[in-house]
Order: sequence, then C-alpha cells, then structure tokens
Amino acid sequence: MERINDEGQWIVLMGFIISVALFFLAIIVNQSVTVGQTTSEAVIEFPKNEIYEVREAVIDIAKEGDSLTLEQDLYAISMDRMNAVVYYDIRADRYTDIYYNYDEIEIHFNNGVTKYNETYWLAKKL
Amino acid sequence: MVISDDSGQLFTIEGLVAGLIMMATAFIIVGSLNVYTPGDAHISDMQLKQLGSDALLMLDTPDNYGEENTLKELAEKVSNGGADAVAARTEFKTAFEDELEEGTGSTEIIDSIRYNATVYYRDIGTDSIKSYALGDSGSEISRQPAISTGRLILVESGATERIFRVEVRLWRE
Repeated sequence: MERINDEGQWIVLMGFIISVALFFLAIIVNQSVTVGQTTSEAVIEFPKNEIYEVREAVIDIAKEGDSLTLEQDLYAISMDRMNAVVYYDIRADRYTDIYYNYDEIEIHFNNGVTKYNETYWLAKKL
Repeated sequence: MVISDDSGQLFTIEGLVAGLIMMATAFIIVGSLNVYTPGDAHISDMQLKQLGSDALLMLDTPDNYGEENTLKELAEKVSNGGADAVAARTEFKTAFEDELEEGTGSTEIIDSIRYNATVYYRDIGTDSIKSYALGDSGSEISRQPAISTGRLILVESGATERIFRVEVRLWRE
C-alpha cells in the first residue's frame, strides 16, 4: 500500500484560514450596501428644513407681535403642509439685564417621528 | 554557449499561473472598492432639497437694509388677488429661476432643474388651507421623483399679519 503523503500541511492550513477570512470580508462588503441606504434615508427623514422654517417664523412672530390669527395660521399650515404639530408660546420681557430685555419663546415641533423642543431667548435692546 | 536544460518546466508554468492569479485578485479587489448603494439616490434628493430651501432663503432676504424681500412682496401680491396675483407668477418665475441658475461663471451650468410652486394659506372663514398656483418652469409631462421644500412668510394681508407658505416642488429633468 502506498504511504500517505502528509507534507505541505502548513500550506493547506493557510489556504483554509485565508478562505475563511475572505468569507467574512465578503459579508462586510455585502452589509455596506444597506449602510448607505439607512443613512441617507435617515437624513432625508429628518425634518431639518421644516424645523428651521417653524423656528424662524416663530422668532419673526415674536419680533412683529403675536396674534391669535398668526397662531392659528401657523398651526393649520404646519399640520396641513408639513404633517407636524406645532406649538409656541411667547412670554414677553421675562428677564432683564442692564442692556437687554429678553422674550422667552417656547417652540415645539412634532411630526410623529421627530420631536423638537426649544426655548429661545430673544434679546431686545433696552 | 546555450545550455540546453529542459528541466523545471512545471515550476515555470506554476509561476506564471500564480502571477495571473495575483493580478486577477488585485483587479477584482480594486474593481469592487466602489460600492454603489441604492441609498445613493437619496443623496441627490438631499442636495436638491437644500438647494431649493437655499434659493427660497435668498428670495426671503432683502437686498439692502430696509428693503422688503422679494418673497414677502410676492406673497402680499398673492393675498391682494386679481391682477396682482397674476403678476406675482411672472415675478416669481424670473426671481426663482435666477436663483437656481446662479453659478460661479467658471463652469457652464446645465439647466436641468424643474420646479412647480404653490402658495398655501389659511382661509379664516372656513378654517381650511387654500392654495394658489405660483407657476412652474414649463409644461413637463413626465417627471423624475420630486422633493418638496418651502418657507413660511409673515405677510401683511390688508391690516392683519398672516402667515403664508411658499412651497416648491423640485426635480431634475
């Protein structure tokens, strides 16, 4: 009977190790496809522009003077066009130092996925 | 004198094959470095949305101190109604397209952005949202996936302050 040739075992072992490593690398490359998907979806889902809009509008309202009509306008348009519940509260002259009067403005934005709450201090020169 | 030695032929072939395998591996690895993801489509959506809201922000900013900004003037014309509202359409078209075409001058801009603009406001009597079409870039029948962005504007409608929303839908041809 012919004797089994057991030389070159190191080479075979290395071959196994490399193939297993390549398998895991292939899994990682595969997953990178979904990574791009979820990040850009998350970015597009986050209502950055809407929050800017509401915030700037509320601060403008505080500068120009609040009214019931403006409040109803903002709430209705936000609900209809941005699918968001918006609420704000402006308390004039809540705080004073030697240079400024500060209005306290509360801004709330909620579109079911993203919630944004802010308290903004609007400084008005004395 | 030429040495005629024909031993080691198999080693030569093995060496060539090994070289080919290594080069093939290198080509495959370099070729698969760029992974195109399905989410890449959203990246251009993001950029388009930012461009649209930037353009509206520019229109909502006065050119000089003390002047009224274009978007507010336009919204006030819409709220006046009648011939003013019709004139607002052409004015918006000129102003908005100017913003979209803004470039550095060093490269030629391919004018591929199309838009459709609408003003939304609340009707006090019925407490519902009404809209006024502010025109579009032309009569496009087919369209690519569009994004929508807008801007809330404080408008003096008669004696009362109101809030209008100018909304644009943007897509690339």
